Amino acid sequence: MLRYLLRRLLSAVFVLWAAFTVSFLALYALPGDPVAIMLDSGTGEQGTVDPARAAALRHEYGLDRPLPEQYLDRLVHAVRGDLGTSVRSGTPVTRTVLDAVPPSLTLAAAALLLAVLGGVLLALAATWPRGGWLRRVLTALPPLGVSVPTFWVGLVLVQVFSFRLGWLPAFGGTGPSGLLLPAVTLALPAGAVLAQVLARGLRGALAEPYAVTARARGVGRGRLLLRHAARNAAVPTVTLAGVLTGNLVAGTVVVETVFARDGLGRLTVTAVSTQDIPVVQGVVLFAAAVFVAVNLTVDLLAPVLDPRLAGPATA
Amino acid sequence: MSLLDIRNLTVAYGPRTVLRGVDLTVRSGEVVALVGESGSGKTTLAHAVVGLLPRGGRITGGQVRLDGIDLTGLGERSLRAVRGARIGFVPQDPGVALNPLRRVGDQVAEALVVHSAAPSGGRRALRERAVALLSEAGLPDAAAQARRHPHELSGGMRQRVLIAAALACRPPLVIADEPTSALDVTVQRRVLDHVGALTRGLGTAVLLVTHDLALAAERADRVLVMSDGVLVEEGPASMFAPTRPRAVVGPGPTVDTGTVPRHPYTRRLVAASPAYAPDRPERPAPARTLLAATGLRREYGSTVALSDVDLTVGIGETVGLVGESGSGKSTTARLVARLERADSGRIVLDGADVTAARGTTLRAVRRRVQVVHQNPYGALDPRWRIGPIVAEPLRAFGIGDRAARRNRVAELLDQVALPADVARRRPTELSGGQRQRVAIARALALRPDLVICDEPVSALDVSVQAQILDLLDELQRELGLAYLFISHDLSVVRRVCDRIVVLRAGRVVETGPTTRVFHHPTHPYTRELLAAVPGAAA
Repeated sequence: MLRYLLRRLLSAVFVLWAAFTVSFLALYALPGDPVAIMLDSGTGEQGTVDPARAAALRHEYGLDRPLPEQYLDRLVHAVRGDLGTSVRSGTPVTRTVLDAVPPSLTLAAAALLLAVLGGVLLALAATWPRGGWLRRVLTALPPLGVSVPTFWVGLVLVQVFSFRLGWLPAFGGTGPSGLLLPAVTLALPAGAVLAQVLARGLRGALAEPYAVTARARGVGRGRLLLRHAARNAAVPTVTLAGVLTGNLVAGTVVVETVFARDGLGRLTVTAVSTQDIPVVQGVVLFAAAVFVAVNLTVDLLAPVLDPRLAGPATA
Repeated sequence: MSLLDIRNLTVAYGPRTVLRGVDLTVRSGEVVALVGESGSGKTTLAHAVVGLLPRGGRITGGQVRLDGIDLTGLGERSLRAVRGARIGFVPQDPGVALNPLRRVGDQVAEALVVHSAAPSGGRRALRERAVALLSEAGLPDAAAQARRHPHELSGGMRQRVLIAAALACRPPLVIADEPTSALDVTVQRRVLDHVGALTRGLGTAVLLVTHDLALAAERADRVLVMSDGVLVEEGPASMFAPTRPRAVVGPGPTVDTGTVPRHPYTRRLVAASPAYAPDRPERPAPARTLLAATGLRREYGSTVALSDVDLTVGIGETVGLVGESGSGKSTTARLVARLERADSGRIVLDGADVTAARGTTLRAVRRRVQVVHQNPYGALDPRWRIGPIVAEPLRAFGIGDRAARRNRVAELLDQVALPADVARRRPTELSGGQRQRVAIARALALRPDLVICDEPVSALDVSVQAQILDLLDELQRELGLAYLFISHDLSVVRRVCDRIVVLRAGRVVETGPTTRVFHHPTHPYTRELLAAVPGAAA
């Protein structure tokens, strides 16, 4: 178990390093002059750049040094938590990113909660009936949820609940009421995928010989689903939930834009559109860290759910 | 009055009728065996009794009376009260019949919980009851095992868990569907002995469903033979006991049991069952040694799979390699076929040392030594047609042009008694026996001297088994083939092998001519193995 943990941790570190390296290569080593971008205040008139000022900036950001040296320097700083400063605002990148995290985290956590609750309930409801139209309708719902685009759902929700009914604030709103619509928007596709995979897992487990044996023991439908099938179906579902959590963070980009909320998504959009390279890299690294943390949790949870994964059989 | 009284039971899957008017009774405390090959409907019957037919299956006529109450008329809720409480069910494959994620003790206790039969005293008393039930079913160190998960238990132990769960509520009837088919013979014998004693003690009636006629005759009071959804014959167990020699098998004195199976199907089944077959006639010793392996050793990690194994196969000879799971049979086969390197030891093929053969020498070995695998369903690529499958070794060795290869394929298919048009079909269109014929044809394509048959018939029904064994015999006579015949089934080995090598835990414990080993075994393990064969005790 300890070796397993160590291996997972090592691979987590490797993923973070890889994310740093790839984003460095993509953002700094590729053609394009960061200094020219910095000096270009968005007007597109690059001809007016003062060469002396450009050189000074280049030196300040270390961009005049050879690439490997830049890479090492930035890597060392990154390990210490220093990701440089934003070329637009001049504030430290770490600060900028961390400031944007709380609203996004609240949103993603709320969405995850809704997705898991909704997904599990829908999956159970779709598996409980032994047949008939209800089962068919419930089974058909998740694919529908998966195929509808997020921004469209957001717009429809705003249209109905804010403009027509006036129940919830359309944009910006703080507190739970402002969180609800964006969270639902974000949760919908994730919950749908969860429901789909869990329902398939439950149906698969119900068809297993051990389920038939349990029924031959006198076990009823409810106990069969909750005590026998649910845990077996949970293993792949938890793995998927890990992937979805990462996607939720990514999904904040669209939702925060649609609902005009502050957060990581908005920061990303702004940083990309203003070509604020250090901030973009900061966001990339943060996203990678979230993915790594979530997957690590899932990997550690899996052997708890399925003892067969904990180690080789002892008999 | 009968405990279980099935009358005129008819079951259909969609438009297909699989049980046609079956009548069957089990009296209180009686052991009744239901024997049939795959597709005969025996498992359908077992499931129909407890109302657990798979999706699409339904009872279209007749009655299943338990203590006079017709179960076919009951709803799911009432049936649930019967399952486990009035009828215990021991399923087929202990490897998959237990929930992998729940402790075995909890799965036994569950039977008590759902029938409100849990002892007073809460969880602790329930756990103790489960441990007692496991211990009663013959699970050693039950208190510790109850806390384990199924994957931590051996097959035999898992089957004991399933038996404990089936008997937990003391049902008056237990239906056991091939309860020991997945187990080694010695384990099978111990489990069945234990269950027999246990159910006799409790006065439980048993409906034993099996494909093994000899086992049925040995374990039951009464035997029913089923074929194609119909009961064809019924009689006391002694009528079906394989006391050799018997009138039904061939000429020779009839045994004193008086009655013999009369129905043509039962007679065919008896004739095909290796347990009922006469010994293989002794043949002159082979002219020279084809394969000689000495001191074979193989380790996987820290486990020694094989150690100090010697083995010879003469030209045109059949050598049986027998042993239970984990004895090293398949490892030996892979080493001898040079599919895997031995850690130490020597393999000599026809005078040439091939232990470390590589490149062209190894390819020459491949030409002379071919393998037929156990599972005819997995050994053929389902997307290929049979023609290319059989021709593959020819292509691999660049033998002949397209036309020549096509002719050779036709010739090979003819040799294994398959019609020529099979070449255009795909494996999924063939039966298990036909697929194994294809696998044999492919193995013969390069005209090998030695064919390693790794459990070639263990996935097949006895009647198909007999045909494949006959085919192997015939090919040996025609082509002078030598076989290394690997099997866990001693009855099959007795029928086809000239000499046998008994393996146990990676070592050879006994070797000698088949008749000598079978009638005068010297090693205690061989004796245990032989005594465990169903029908051996008769």
